Amino acid sequence: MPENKKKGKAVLFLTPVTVLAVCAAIITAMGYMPFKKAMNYTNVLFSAEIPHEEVSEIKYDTKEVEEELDDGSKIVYPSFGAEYATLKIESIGLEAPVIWGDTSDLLQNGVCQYTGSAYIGLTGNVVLAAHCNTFFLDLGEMKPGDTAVLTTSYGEFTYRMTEQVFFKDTNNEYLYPTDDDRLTMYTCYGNLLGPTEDRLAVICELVEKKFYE
Amino acid sequence: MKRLKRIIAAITAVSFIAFGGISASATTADDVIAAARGAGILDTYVAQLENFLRANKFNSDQYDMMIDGLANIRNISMDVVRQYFPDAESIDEFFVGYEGGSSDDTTDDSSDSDNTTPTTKPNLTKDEQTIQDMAQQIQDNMTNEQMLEAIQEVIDTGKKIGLDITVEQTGDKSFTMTVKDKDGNVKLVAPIGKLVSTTGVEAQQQDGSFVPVAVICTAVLAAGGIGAYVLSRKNRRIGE
Repeated sequence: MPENKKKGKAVLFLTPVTVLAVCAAIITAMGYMPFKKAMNYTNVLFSAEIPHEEVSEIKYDTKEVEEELDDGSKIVYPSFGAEYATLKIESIGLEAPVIWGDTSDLLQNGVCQYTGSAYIGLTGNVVLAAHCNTFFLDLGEMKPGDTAVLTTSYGEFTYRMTEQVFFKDTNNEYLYPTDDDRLTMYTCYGNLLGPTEDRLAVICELVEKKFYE
Repeated sequence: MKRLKRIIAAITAVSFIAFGGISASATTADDVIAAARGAGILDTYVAQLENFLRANKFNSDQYDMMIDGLANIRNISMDVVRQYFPDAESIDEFFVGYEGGSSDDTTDDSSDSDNTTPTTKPNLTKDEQTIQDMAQQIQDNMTNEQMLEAIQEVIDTGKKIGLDITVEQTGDKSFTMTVKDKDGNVKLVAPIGKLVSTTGVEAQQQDGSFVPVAVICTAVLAAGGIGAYVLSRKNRRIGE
């Protein structure tokens, strides 16, 4: 009889503990992704520095090359995967690192630049991409006239938004080189719950080019 | 046909400058860029090469090897031209009757424009525009095998100059090229074909850190299930 009582007490104690553990596991499993997304939203909203996840196993070259341009100003060509600028768009509260290269690994860490586009500061089309649920969450909120500032170790470059366009992911044209100084920023559009072929791009013209002495 | 002749002649003109017009002086990165343009390669890939050569310096012999590789790619491009215009008896006949054109004359051809076309295109001369049109046509009409052949040429050239180049097919006529130095450092990862990045939510969900969390949750759920079963059996026994 006392043994039965003991067992009964154990059951009485273990049942809620087990139920609690199961419930905690379910909540953790279901809440992990929304929590991560919410954290990203919060970081972007408050312009906090986004935690950088280390990309394991990939060893990037870290050599930079400095060169003097014809007009005497100096530019630093980044190595692949290097953070070499900061993008600031006040109107949507964004401040994010700009990385040279746009692989899926790099896209987790910042705003990524297509390597076939112009280095920041050189004439041409500077093409930047980022995820629609993190860094470029509010890209679509930019209005014509809003400014975007790219700051590098060698200069500061200010752009003004001129237009917003939509295109399919099979259309490469917005990534092609241009003769004018412009900034093209794009992200996914139309489906926040999964992959989409639709892209939203914001095109800006260069309004101020300032190389450091 | 006349337009095609202009295109071929324009490519030839640039190729002559790129391949035939190189003097005895040391070969430079600019010569490689000119050779790439002459090989009928799209501007965006030429820009990738140009950016790569700005950040990575090579010697004159290595630049020569790159130009040799690009000459072979040009031959592949010309094969595409031959296939695309099968009526031509010889590719050489296109060069006859080229009227030439003013290089100061910028193109105003907007027939290809639609609502998804950039509003400001590069201010290309007519010759440059025809070369780009041709390069686009070459890329559009290249078979997967021809693309792989051209890519193999890039890989072989990479080996000669001390770079380890690997290519992964990511879709139909879509590839990702990874360039590493001899120490295994990644120097470039470049898309070929489909250039627009995947910027949706999907890539975030592929984050590897979700896997251990999922494993732990599954283990806890399984343990919970087993525990519940054991408890229910015990409860039944106590009840009896």
